[in-house]
Amino acid sequence: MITREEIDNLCALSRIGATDQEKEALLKDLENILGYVQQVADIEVPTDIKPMYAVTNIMRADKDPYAPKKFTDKLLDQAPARDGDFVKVQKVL
Amino acid sequence: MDLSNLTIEKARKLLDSKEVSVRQLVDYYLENIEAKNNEINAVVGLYSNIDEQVDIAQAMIDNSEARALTGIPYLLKDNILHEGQVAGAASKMLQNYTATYDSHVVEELKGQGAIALGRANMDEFAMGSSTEFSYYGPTKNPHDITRVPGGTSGGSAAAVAADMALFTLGSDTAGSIRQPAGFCGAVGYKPTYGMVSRHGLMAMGSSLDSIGPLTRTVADAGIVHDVISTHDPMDATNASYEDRAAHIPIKKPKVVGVPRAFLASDGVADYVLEDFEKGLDALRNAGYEIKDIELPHIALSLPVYYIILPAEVSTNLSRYDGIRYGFSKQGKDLLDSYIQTKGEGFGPEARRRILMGTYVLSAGYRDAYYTKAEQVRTLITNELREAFKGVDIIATPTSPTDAFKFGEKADPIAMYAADLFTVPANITGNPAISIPTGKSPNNMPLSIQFMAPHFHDENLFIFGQKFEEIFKL
Repeated sequence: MITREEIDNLCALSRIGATDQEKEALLKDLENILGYVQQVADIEVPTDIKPMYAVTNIMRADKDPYAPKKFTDKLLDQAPARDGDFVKVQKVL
Repeated sequence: MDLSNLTIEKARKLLDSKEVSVRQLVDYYLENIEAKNNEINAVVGLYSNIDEQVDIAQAMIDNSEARALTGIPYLLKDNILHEGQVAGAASKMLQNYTATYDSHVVEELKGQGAIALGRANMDEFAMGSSTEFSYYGPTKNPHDITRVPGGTSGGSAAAVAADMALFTLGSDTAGSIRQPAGFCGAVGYKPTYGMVSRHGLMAMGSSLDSIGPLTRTVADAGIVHDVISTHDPMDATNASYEDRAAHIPIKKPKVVGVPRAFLASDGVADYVLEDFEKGLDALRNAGYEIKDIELPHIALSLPVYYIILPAEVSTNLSRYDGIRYGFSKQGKDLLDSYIQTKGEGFGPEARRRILMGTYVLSAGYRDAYYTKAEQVRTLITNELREAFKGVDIIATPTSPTDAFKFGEKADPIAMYAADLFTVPANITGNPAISIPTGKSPNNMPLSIQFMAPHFHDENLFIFGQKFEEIFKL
């Protein structure tokens, strides 16, 4: 049902590195799991049953900002690489 | 003074009457952790600020300002944030992450002067049913160390059973409080979704997660729930008091529904069903009406969960990329860094679920799997709502078997099946409690699970306490 190409693609999409051996194991596991959940894909559901989508997006107005620098050090202390008040990263573009 | 097997209620009296100091009580649990943790591995690490917490709590008691949980020692599942302390979700990815803020539940517990002792072990990123997937090694069941404590709040459950704390907090997404509580002989409670703020709980399945207490008694679970379930504007899914009040029940529970067809599912042990019937007999003898009910699609809760949850996980875990915090592996360029960080930082179950989630959300598959699963979710929720028109409580066993042996559930699907009876309450958002009952032929704890309508949490405590009393008889 699921192919090795699809596993490669899923790993690329989710940015997860895996060895060939790990990908073979993942292929078997996902095959197994997809086989199990297929019963949900196969079931007939009346069209008036809407998807639950239990969590909806809520926008909070961007007002009453915190005092500058209140959390800066606390947050930046956790960063693997820091440059002043910046999180340091490799070249993006 | 014998401080073994206290409850929160008993400890409150001892502390307030000054028979015991906060220091003595905390030291009792620290000594137990010291003595037993090498074997049990319930506690991943102790917090560095216990002494300060003890002083604050003792001052509150001395000034006659003690509240319900002042001086009461507890453990936090490793995915709940306590500012300034490590919170790692028992993963390599976050092994050195220091929480930069308090979760809402910890804010409330700090306000009470409760004593946070440290981090309870769990399956990595709350994925599993046995705590075998922890980066720190598995927790052992205190009743039999060759058996799992359940998961993912295995450390939290084992700690209560091994008398390492007076209560623990866990998280429950498919049964991760209730199932380990059941396996370890503790009470485990999952509130109505939206009752307890998820602010500061590392998100796994945002529409399914809930924080809840593991305790020795139902009354204790109620005490903790009252403290942690205050409304929190920092969690947009946290229900307002108006919404909760709209559902307050006007009568005490009297009728218990049993979904017979569901109980006849594959893999449910005979001894579990026998123990369950004893629970029903006790209720009948005490004057409760037991009614058979039909929930035609409830058995689909588990496969529905294994579509929806991985989808939400693939989104929620994408933030762990080694850039702003956590484990970070530098590759030849940014993309390579992501790939190596995630490849090495995530364990096997986390990886499986992220890939599964990516699959069910991808073009060409999304409607067939994810949208359909959300529709079936509506169906199941409607059926439960309908059933609750004729009954006050729905009863099932908590788990289909007793605590299994380590390594027994190597196949992912076999592991998933452990959550058969607990997962519906997460799919629908209903509150549910697991209460210890008898013992299995392996002499392991068994338990019964009760569910109530949304926001009828109070009724679960009333009913649960009654059940505890009558089952003992």
